[in-house]
Amino acid sequence: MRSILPAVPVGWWPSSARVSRRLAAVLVLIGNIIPGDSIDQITPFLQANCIECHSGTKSKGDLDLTRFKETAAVVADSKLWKEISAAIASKEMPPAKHANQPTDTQRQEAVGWINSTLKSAALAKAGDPGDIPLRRLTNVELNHSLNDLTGLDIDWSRDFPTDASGGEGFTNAAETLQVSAALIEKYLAVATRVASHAEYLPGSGPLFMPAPTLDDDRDSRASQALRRLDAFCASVSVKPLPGAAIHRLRTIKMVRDSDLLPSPRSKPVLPAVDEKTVAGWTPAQQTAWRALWLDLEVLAETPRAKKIDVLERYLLGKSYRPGSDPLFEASLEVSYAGNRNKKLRDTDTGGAAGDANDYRTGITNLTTGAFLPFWSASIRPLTPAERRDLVRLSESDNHEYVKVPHAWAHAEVINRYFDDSQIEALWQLVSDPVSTFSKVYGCTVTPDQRPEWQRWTSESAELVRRTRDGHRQNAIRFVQRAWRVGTTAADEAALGKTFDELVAQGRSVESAHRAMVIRALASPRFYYRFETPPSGVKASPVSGIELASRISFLLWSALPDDELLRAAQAGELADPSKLKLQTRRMMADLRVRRFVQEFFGQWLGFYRFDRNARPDRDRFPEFTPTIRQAMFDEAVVFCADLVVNDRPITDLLTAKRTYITADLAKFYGLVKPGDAGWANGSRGDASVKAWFASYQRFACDDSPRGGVIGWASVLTKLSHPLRTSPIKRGNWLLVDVLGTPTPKPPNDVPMLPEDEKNKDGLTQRELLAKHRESPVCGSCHSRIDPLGIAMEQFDPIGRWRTTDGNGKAINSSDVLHNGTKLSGIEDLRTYLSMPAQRDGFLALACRKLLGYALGRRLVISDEPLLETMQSKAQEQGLTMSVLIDAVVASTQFQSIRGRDAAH
Amino acid sequence: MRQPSFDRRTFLRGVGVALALPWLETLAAADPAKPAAARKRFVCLYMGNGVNAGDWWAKGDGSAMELSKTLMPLAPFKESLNVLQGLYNPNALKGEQHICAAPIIMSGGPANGGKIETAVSFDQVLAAQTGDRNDFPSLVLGIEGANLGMHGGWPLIYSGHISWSTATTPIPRENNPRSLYDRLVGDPNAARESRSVLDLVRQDAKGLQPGLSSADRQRLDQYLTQLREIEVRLDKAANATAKPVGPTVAGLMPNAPTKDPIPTDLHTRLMIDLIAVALQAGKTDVATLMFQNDLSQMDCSFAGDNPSLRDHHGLSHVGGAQYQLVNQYYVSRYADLLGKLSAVREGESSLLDNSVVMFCSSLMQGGAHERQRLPIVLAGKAGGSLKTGRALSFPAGDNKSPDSAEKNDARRLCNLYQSLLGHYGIDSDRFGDSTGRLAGF
Repeated sequence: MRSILPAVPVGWWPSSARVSRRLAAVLVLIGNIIPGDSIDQITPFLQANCIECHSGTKSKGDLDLTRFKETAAVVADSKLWKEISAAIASKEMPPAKHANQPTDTQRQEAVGWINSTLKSAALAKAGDPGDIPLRRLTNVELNHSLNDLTGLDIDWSRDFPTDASGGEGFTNAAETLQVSAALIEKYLAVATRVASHAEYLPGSGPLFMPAPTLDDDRDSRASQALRRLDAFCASVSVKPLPGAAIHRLRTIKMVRDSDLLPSPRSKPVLPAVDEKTVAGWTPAQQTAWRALWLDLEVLAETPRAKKIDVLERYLLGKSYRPGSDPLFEASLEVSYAGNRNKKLRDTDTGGAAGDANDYRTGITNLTTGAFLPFWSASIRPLTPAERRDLVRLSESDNHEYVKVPHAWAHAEVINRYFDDSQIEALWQLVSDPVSTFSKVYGCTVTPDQRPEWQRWTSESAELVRRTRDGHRQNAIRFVQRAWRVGTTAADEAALGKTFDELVAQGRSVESAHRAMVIRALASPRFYYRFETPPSGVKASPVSGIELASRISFLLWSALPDDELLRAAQAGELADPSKLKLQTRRMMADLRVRRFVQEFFGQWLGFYRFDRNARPDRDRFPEFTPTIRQAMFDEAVVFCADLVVNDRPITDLLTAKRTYITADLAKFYGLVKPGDAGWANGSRGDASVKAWFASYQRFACDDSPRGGVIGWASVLTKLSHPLRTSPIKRGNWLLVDVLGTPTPKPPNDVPMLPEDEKNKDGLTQRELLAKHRESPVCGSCHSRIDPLGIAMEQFDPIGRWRTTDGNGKAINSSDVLHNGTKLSGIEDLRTYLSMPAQRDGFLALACRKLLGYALGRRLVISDEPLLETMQSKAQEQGLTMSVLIDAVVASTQFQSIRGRDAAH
Repeated sequence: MRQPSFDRRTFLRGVGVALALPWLETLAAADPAKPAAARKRFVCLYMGNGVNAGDWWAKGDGSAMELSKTLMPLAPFKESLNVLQGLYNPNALKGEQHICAAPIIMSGGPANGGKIETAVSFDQVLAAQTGDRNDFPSLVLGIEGANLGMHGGWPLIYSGHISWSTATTPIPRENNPRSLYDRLVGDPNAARESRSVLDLVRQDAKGLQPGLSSADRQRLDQYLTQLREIEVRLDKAANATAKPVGPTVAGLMPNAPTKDPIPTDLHTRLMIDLIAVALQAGKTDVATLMFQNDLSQMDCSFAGDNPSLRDHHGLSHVGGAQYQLVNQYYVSRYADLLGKLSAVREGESSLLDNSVVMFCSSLMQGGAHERQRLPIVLAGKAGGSLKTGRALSFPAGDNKSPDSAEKNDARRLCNLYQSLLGHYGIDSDRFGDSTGRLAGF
């Protein structure tokens, strides 16, 4: 098939209108295709007209027709046979120079046989979900998923090997998405990196910060929690406290110093909300409220925060009211006792007792970690396991128990290891007037302090319990979101068990929480897209949760959000109208920008233009990073508008509008900023609107811009650094926009000079004309070049021009192979809007979209769906929602092959 | 036993800066358990888009060998060379001319058009055999990212991958020298933390196995194998006593902008250095590096000052003096590597003597997409069994004379690989579409 194929309609098989009566007869004749069927019916035609050239080792165009013996072979190579069919139909084959030509009837019969064979095969397997091997996330999907999980905006996969494309030309093609050991290591590293960005709060879960957080950085935790509180108050229309009290709490120092702590004694830090108000909120709001409470309580009222304060006062030599902190004092006592008793020093790290009256020495001893066994020994002997735990607890680096040598450390120990009777024993110790405690400190906790002690220990226990439960629950939830598994009791139990084990190993609850986050993200269940196939060979629908993932990765290049997961778990995605609602909601979300970049960007060629575009900087100093970004954004905003505002996809060809910044308007030489058209007819949430609003919608009535052929990004990309390339631009239009198959160029292709300022002073058009004099080149280039030449008034960086680099006037007229005269960009736009071109474009768009959505290359069983997509689009106004709905509703999108299906 | 301390700072001063420094010794001594003499290495350096055929030839043997302009940088290594002229890959003749040749340069193919499928590449066959004894069974490296999209109906993933671990698994390339360095060195603390996570990760993966199709189970098995590879390495790193300290590779490139890509010239030299270090340190025995993809539009301005150098593929069509400069630039980097490897003594011989270092491209005359013969040079004696100092020609059959098919069969690239397998101690009577061992090998 070396010679030129005609611009066949891409809707290749006979749709009802195209089926001739004769063909219908053939269809009846053939009936259903059985794999072993011979191709006897077409053999005479092939023998008479094709085999002479297309057989044996010297087959013309590498096409050996003798290898096709059964219909199954024909079907397996359907793309080739479509081309063969088209070549026969258009009389391109056999070549006109051959004297022996088939009759029109013979041609029709042959074409009919091929087409109906292919069609029967397609219908027999229509909707087959296809072979989609286990795939990992693309780097982009990984980034977006991590950012959606964390609320950050970080390029996590910056150092990853770049993704390559397969399938229908997209990086999300499943068969290309494999892992290597190097990549798995990067996943591990990223999981740890992500975890290091978080503060772990018991109420609201991991709270991610733009920069890695320090272990002891409580300021940020407090201020973040307060910010959440602000946001929450705004969302439920609760007024902040008078006197800007919340602002006084911005830093932990203030939290510490303030009497507005949400302690049992003073709760006014939170807006005055009574139970009735809370009861009036939605369950979700109530949950959020309780979570915030817990966070604040832990941050401000944890014994840790409080005791640091007390401790600092000691260290700073400030006065201490003996007896005001019995537990703290008790720990000093124990430490002292320990140092006196050599027998108990087996795990002692050797701290000297010093003067027992010296608090500082006592504190130093506490920091050694030796105190724990001593203390416990004075209450009851430790079990070996407890001893191991405690020693590890006290020795581990970065551990707050060591760094913060105060009684609170013991509070958690108490509540973890000691029951009520043991706590009572502690009370006896600190309140005994003849104990070492009172001897050393000259004071005793007095019986009238008993109620305070009890309140303290029980509140402390309660807080420890709630904190632990909060961390546990949030850790589980994070894992479930990351793995997009919904919430099942089994998972919950298994994950809860992991958490408990981590704690039992001696981790703090925060550290266990962190470990769970790392585990979630380092697991293949995060970075692979697992789906459970049904047993047997038959395909069946994927689960609701799995479908949610498919939709989410399609439209947002990331995992599903809470709302989509909710709908999936509620079974709503099985209801076509509710499914549409979800799709519509997602199309109106700002996250569709990712779909725009991944799908339209890779299809139309502006993908990563913002990073990779590289015209000559000396020749084109005007091509600044700002302009480059604006060019990229122009394409992104245009396509996002198609999706968000559900416009016809054919607007890409013909719309007389564009979306530009003031800088780009100037670059384009557009003096009038244009109508701010966003107010009319746009929908979507506020953030989408705000984003669009930063660009001017420009009506291009008096300008050559508008649609894909006026985008500077694509025009620049399809240029060489120092010159335009009508061939690249023309070929792109022909192949990537209009979907016309073109043969490969011959092996030895002469190149044009790299700089348009060439010594002969020839224009690109003149150079190409010379090139086309060769008949070998001309047959193709008469289809390609005129399309590109019509765009010649856009210079190598997409500016409008009237002369080229040599100062010669641009002539943008040329004649296509079929006699169509194209004179400049407006002629081209008109040409693109004609039915033949528009249909070709639509067919390609459907193909690309389906290939992107499925993450695989399309096969013959997808053809019926492509036809449906096209006809639905034609009937319903060509809008994006029609196309996306058709894909999302399709059998191939919603189902999965059986476990034992052949691959 | 205390292992020799490995000073990261000294290492870094060496990388990309000088040829032989004490760090090489230190690093190489880092694993005394491995007898150096037994190790045979393989490296493949790949250049995209072909060469200027007229400037690519060699004549004569040994020190009397005459070299063309492009091959001149190899003059100091004449005695170590095998310049192979006329080999070809029959399957590369079938398929999209820009895309189908690169992915089968080390396997013989064929590449299967729209479906991502070729054959296991030679380097990976070796890696599977030698991998057990190394931290890294192989290093698969690159300079530029993968091309995106399709060309003539062929996914461009093909043109950017020469190493395939299975017929359907192109190995993602490590392009980032910083990451590569960090992986080579390892960090005990990070290793310990990662190691504890890996057990859970393994459990997760295993738990999923039963529900999968057999094909996906295979993919997951591959995953688990790779996980094992990491575990072994992390265990070693976690137990290492020497704690790497000091700057990262970024310290080497103080002037390089942190966000933009590293300048290609520096990037290329760094990768060459890192390969040399990795081989010497016994981190791996197999490495492949793609200087660029086929159909690459890499800016080659580092090779000279001419606007046409901005587009590697475009330039390959123009050919001429400018493209010759680019070809020679890459041969010079090849020579750099040979220099480094020959400077490393391993008992009586050098590291180069114990290796086969291959330089190749998927096309001969780039502009013509000429796949009927390929530019291939080998250096090194494969531990002594391979004769060197030779310029060998394998003439093509003319399609008329009776021995034509025989001649063409005799010059199949896979015959070379079949021979090499023997030199690496792997018995095999066939590799890819080989018809036997290559004459003289």
